Formats: sequence, structure tokens, C-alpha cells
Amino acid sequence: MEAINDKLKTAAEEKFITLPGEELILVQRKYFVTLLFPVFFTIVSAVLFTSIFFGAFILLFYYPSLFIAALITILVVTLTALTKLLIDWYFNFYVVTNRKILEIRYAPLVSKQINKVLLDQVRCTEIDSKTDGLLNEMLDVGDITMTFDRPTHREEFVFTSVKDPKEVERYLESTLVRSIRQFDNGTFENIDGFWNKSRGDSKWQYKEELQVEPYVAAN
Amino acid sequence: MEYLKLTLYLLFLATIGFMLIYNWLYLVRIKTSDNKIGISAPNFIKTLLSASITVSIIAFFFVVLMVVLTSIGINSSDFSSAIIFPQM
Repeated sequence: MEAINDKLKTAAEEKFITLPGEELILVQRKYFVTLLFPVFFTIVSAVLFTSIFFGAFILLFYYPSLFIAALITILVVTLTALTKLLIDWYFNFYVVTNRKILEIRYAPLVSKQINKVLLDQVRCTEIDSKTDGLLNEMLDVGDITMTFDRPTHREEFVFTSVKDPKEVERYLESTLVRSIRQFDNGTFENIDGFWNKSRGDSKWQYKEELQVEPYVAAN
Repeated sequence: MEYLKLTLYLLFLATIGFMLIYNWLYLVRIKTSDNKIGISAPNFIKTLLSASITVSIIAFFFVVLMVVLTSIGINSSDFSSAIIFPQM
């Protein structure tokens, strides 16, 4: 598990650090224990269907070969479902840098979704954590909600099923808020420009303020 | 009754065939995930998918055999019961 997280961190540093002065703060995947319930549900469903087919093809009508065919079909479907669950979990993660927050959700053959919040375009007003349910309380798994004020509306960015939500919240508060303040005060080094998107325009543009020397007419 | 059995075999065959194609496409897609989102899939996921494909291929040919035997009139239950459920 540690090796997987290290690989994710390295990949995030290589692929998602794109803006000037950007530093990686946090890379987080959903806690792997959240996989247990869907895995359990899939296995129980497989057992249930096997029982039904056993009742129908062995006890009711005696067709052992049909039962074997049903059994291997169930095995193939279950194996595929478990693999898909694992892959969907693996390709869903959050990246927090001092310039942006990303949620990457990739389900091969189905969807690819990258949610991005550029922190220099919004103001982070709240960071809340929440733990619901007995199991989550025992495992210390919960959600972290970050609320941003945008020019037109408020927007929430939710990190779901994160391990140690209080700890992550505290870390985000201390690191991220400081980074945003630094950015607001213009104390970042090597940053002359900013990202901007006009209303109705789908693409972000990087703009820089040019320092123009005042023109002095020569006499 | 033989038609019902054949229909069920074909239903299982279609399901296994679909899973086989799905897993194969999944594996191909996973191998290009590095270009898609910047994170490559670990080896254990590729191994799991390869195992799923192997099981699907074996299952596919097994069910094809059952369909052939049923369609030519050989009662496949006879040898299945002898091998798998000898006590019943």
C-alpha cells in the first residue's frame, strides 16, 4: 500500500504540477477499507446466485452440466466485477497543490473526469470534516468539505472517504490557507502572471503584467 | 426441454463472451492510462485482468463444448455427473 502511494505521489508531482511556483501539498486516495462493502456485496450476490442455480439445476431438475456452466459464468462475472471495483478505486484520487485542487476519476471504457479548482480564482472560506456511521467512526474514515466563494456562486469540493479526516483537515488548513494568503499577498517568487478565464470562454489563459518603462520625450 | 437447456447455454455463452471482450478492452485501455490521466496501472491490476481473461477463455470453450454436445443430442449431464457429482 505504501509503494502504491509513493508511486501516486511521484506521478502527481510529474504530471499535475504545471503552474509556475506550484508545490505539491497532498495526494490522497479513498481509504481502501471503503472497498470492503462493495466487495462483500459482490461476493454475497455470487453466493446467492450460485444457491439459486444449485436449487434449480441440481435439486429441482438434475442438469449438472448446466449448473457447472452457470457456476463458471458466475465466477467470470464476479471476477470482472471485483477487478472493476479495484480499478475504479485505484484511479480515483485527489491532488492538492498550493495553486489548485484536483479530483481525478477515471473509469476505463466508461468515463474520465478531472475536476479542478484554481485557488487563485476563488477564496476558500471553510474546511470542514465529517465522519458518519459506526464503521466510519471506528475506522476513522470521513469526508472533508472545502467551500469556495466564486464570483457567481459558492462551490463545494468534497474529499470523500478519507483516512484520518481531522488530521488531513488540520493539515490542509495550516498548509493550504497559508499558501493562498502568500499568493494573495504576492509573496510567491517567480510568479508574474495569473490564470484567467473570460465568461463564455472554455479555455484558461495565462496572463502576465508587463513592466513598461515610462516614455520620456527627448528634447 | 433440450431447447430450454440450449437457450440457457447460449445465454451463459453470451455473458462469458461479453465479459471476455470487456476484460480484454479494459486491459488494452489500462495499458494506455498513463497517457490518459498520467497514472499508470500497477502490475497486480494487469495480472488480475489477465487472469480474468484466461478464466473467461476457458469458460467460453467449456460452454461451447456443452452447446455442441447438447445440439448433437449427447446428454452432457451423463459425463458431468460422473466427474463432478459421482455420489449423486
